Amino acid sequence: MVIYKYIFSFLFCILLGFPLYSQDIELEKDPWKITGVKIGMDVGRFSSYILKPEKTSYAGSLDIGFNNKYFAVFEYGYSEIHLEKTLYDYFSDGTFWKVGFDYNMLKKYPTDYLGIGFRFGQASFDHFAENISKDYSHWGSNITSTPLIKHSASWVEVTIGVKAELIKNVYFGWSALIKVHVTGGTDNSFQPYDIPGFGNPSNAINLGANYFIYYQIPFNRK
Amino acid sequence: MFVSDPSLISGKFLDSMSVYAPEWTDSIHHVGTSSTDSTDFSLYLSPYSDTTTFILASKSMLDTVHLFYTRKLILLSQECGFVTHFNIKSFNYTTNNIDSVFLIENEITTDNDGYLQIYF
Repeated sequence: MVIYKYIFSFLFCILLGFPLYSQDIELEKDPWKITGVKIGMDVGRFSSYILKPEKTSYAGSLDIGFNNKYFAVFEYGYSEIHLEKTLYDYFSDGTFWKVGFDYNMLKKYPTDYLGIGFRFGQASFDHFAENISKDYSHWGSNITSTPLIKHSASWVEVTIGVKAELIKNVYFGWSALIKVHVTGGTDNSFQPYDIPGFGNPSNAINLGANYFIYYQIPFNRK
Repeated sequence: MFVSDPSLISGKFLDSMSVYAPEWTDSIHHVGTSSTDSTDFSLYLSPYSDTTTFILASKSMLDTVHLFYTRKLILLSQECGFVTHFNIKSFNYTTNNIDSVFLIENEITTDNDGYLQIYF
């Protein structure tokens, strides 16, 4: 029930936000045109090498801008976990994708971006553990492993972020993420360590941040 | 797993009863020698097989109890690692000394003991 409460709150916030911009949308006279296609790479993942050495992940994005105001966004990533514990070794790898949109609230500097966005994310991954060391009285010790277990999970995200043009057509972007778990990726018997793109599956809500560098392929740029 | 006979006031007739499993490196687990000994004691199922055989020996009489079960590895926590949970599906036994056996509780987890009653 908690998750539905969060989803409802989150949808409510979005619905509440749209009327604030409805006048702008109604006054907008420009026809829809593609103003840029950005290809991005998540450079924030490099910090994981220090903060989470057990995790290796990569992510990229593609967004298509319309009138520098609306952006259709697609993200794709790969994540791998190799966790060495005293009593076992844990492995996980999988991919994720996100699809959604961004809305740019800046009007004065339309090539930059300050806005909010919405994403739907989906991950597929598998995990297993090996070198599970067990020692029982009478029965002795043994090394065993779990079978490979496949999972899929989905979530929704709200983002708020900025993208600034550092040099012509090269942007640096940062965004804060609120991720709300929807389905899958949990297991009471063998809880996954991480859902690619989402994070800790034990949490109904995960917070995060992205750091991207983008190259924009210009279209109709003045 | 507990083996129990709560209807008995005395375990005296189980004089010198020993319990062991063929796979054990230490052969004798329990010996009852007097009427004051508890008739409850715990045994552990094999975490490496889906069958465990216990041999109950009293003087010259031997009885064998076979337990058939499923096992599941459970990740207790990242720090504690994995444990094995059991679900006893069936059992059989010989009747040299044993009169009857009842499976009272078949789930064995970190929070729950299985329970088997053996009547002699």
